[in-house]
Amino acid sequence: MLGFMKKKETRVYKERDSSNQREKKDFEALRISGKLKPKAWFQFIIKLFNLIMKNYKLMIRSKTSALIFFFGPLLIVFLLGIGFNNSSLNGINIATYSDSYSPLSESLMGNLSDNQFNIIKTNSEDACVNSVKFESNHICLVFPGNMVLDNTGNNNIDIYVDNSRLNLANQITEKLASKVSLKSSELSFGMVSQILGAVDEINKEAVSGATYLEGMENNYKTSKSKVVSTLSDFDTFDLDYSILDMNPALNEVEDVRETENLSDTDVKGIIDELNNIKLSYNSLAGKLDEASSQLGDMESSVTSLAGSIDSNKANIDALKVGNTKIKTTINTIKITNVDSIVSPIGTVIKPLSLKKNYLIYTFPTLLVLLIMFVSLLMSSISIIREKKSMAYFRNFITPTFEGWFLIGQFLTDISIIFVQLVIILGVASIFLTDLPWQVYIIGGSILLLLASIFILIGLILGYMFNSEESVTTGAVSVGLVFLLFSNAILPVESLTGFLRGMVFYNPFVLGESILKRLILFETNFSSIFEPLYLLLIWFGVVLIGAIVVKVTSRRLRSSYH
Amino acid sequence: MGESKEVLLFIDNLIKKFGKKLILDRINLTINNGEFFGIVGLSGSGKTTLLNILVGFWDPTIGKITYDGKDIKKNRNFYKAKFGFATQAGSVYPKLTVEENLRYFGRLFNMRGEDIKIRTEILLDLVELTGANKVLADELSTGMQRRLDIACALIHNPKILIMDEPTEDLDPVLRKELLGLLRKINDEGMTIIMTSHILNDLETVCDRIAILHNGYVIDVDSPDGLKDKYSKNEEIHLTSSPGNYESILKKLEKADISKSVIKRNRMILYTPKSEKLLNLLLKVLSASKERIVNLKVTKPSMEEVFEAVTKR
Repeated sequence: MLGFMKKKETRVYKERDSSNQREKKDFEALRISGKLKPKAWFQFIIKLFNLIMKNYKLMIRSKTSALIFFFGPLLIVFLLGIGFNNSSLNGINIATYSDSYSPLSESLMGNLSDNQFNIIKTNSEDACVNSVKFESNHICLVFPGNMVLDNTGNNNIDIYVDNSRLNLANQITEKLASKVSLKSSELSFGMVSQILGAVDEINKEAVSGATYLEGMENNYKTSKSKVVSTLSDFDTFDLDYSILDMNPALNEVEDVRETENLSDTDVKGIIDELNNIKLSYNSLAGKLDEASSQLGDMESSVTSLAGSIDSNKANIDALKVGNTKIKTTINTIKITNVDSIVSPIGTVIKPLSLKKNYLIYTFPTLLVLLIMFVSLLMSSISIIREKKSMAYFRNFITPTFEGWFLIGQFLTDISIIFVQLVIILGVASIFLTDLPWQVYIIGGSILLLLASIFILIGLILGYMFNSEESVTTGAVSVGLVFLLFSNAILPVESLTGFLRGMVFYNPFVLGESILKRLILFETNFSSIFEPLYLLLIWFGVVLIGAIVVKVTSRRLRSSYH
Repeated sequence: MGESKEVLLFIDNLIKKFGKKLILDRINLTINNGEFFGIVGLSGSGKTTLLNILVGFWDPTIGKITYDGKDIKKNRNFYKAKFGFATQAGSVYPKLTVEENLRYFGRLFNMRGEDIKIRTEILLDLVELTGANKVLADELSTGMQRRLDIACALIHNPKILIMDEPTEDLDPVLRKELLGLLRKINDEGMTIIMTSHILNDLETVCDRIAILHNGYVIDVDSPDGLKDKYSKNEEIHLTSSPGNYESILKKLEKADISKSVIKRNRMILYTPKSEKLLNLLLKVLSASKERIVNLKVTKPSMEEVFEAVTKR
């Protein structure tokens, strides 16, 4: 030890603790001999703490860094929370055009006009379409001229949308289609109700006609039986008679007269009476003949009547068959509900998650996006700032394993992300009250794992580049690659085979997938194992990568210094 | 100046290449315990590379360095603690206070908190920054920053303090102060290795100076030894009135003058025979009615030596 400093050091020791003079005297000797040397693990902890505290101080004292890395993400989430905390689109301008607006098209437009949609009539179809192209309006509807409900069937509405604003276009067309469809359904409902009313009336009449036919059939049966009975009654009539022969009686009278010698006068009365009887008999016989003839006529009439009745029966039967057919046909119409006929196949979109606002749907993506960019930029820029720092060189000439600087920077960055996550998820829990607390714990852990991956990637970039501009560009580019090859902007299904396969290993996609499962679908923990394993593999790979790049970058730097 | 002459550091046939480019070529140097050792060389001569190898930032391509007879490569971390390093730009965190910087680097040298406190107190006293311990490094003046850098280099109580161009960018007053401080540290027995472009600084404080040129050590000797070796001339500095130096020079045509330099209001004559020339000059001045304002005879400067050596 140098004389001057040694004397001073001894004096300081003495001043500090006069009660332990002997110990103080031996202190230097013990320290030099290494007996007072802290254990390696303790040194490691102390060094790490020292590195982290230094990083914190540098970050906090650099006002721009503190502002960007501490408050920037919180501000973003705050603004997003305020901005997207609703469930509908707002201020959508719909341009319309028609050669001649009809009550039907006006009615449809009235249906669309509410707080969500502003209807703006344009003077021509081109003006309508151009207003969408130049973004003054969001969608253009062209109604056919004199749009009416008739048999011409020219009721197509042309919808022009800007597909470059894919998400918005889809949402608007979906909402628009649902509103137009609602009006269309209203119209169909009226028409089908009318038809169904008529069919129902026919059905009722058929039922009522069947009753009449039943009565007619019964009447037929009665009549028929009566006719048959009458005809059988005819058979019971016996109008036969025998010829009355008065001659034996006259002969007897003659015999008696002769026997009795009676005069003709005496018997004349008898004979006259007999003749009168004969005359009466003959007259009666004639009447019987006439009655018999009339009975025969009647019988033939009744027989004819029976035939007529039988022919009516056939008509009744035919009517019955017709009536039954009508009823059967009507009964084959199984769906008599107007709604079911207007929309025979209903599509009810049932969201997998019934959340109240847009924020919750985008929350997992936003969280991952935020964590990704903050982690990438914070870690990479921190490394560059450290490399550009005047003190960077001195770190390397200390007996400190280089990996500790990497670990120290990693722990600093992850602890900042941790604090941010606690605040973000804490605030989120106020709005998303229906999420169980386990989701916050598991989701937060997943986000920390994800942040670790992106921090390590940022560290790799930081060690690779040598200026803040290039590392910022690099970090943003890497972030954009992860973002573009995810579902956040375009559906991954639109990618080609190879890339599509790769996308599912994108840490952004994996993290987003896990958070969606947890936050939106509230699935159980076991369902996130697979993407979680992949994220752990990512962590291992980038950790090794960071160490390799850290060591290699120093070698490269030293080689070209 | 340190009294002990035992060899502390030995650089043995050291070669450093970056790719195919040879930066240091067969460097052999011996630095004694307590010595104030200077290294002088043009930009790109390999001074900083040599220092970086000494502190363990880079490894030599070939050759070895021994500390107290032991190869430092075999226990690099142990020997790292034997060196303190201060760079020309300063190597502290501007956004940490003086005390925080010292504590941070002390921790990196595995020092205990108590030791750091004691060392901080001593060093702040030594570099006269006691009242500024809570001040951020970037709020310090240039001279204070340079002193803080030295304090950081000394926090772990190294055996050798390595200074890379410490007086660069400093005004003469600060430079003098800093050199005084280094001299004070060296007087306490600390071995110092220092590089500088300002040869007068090295001449003022160094016991020995190594001349490094194109990665090769041309010579190592004390400043006077180098002067004697590389320049037989002495310098006659003349300031006269009205100062017709061209006319005076013409009248001295036959004198033994190696080189003459006219700088504004003065003239410098280099000669191996200063006594003879001085007599002649006085006669010429008298004849020319020149009034002597200042006249002195000095040994050659290090600049001249360096120029002579590097032009060889």
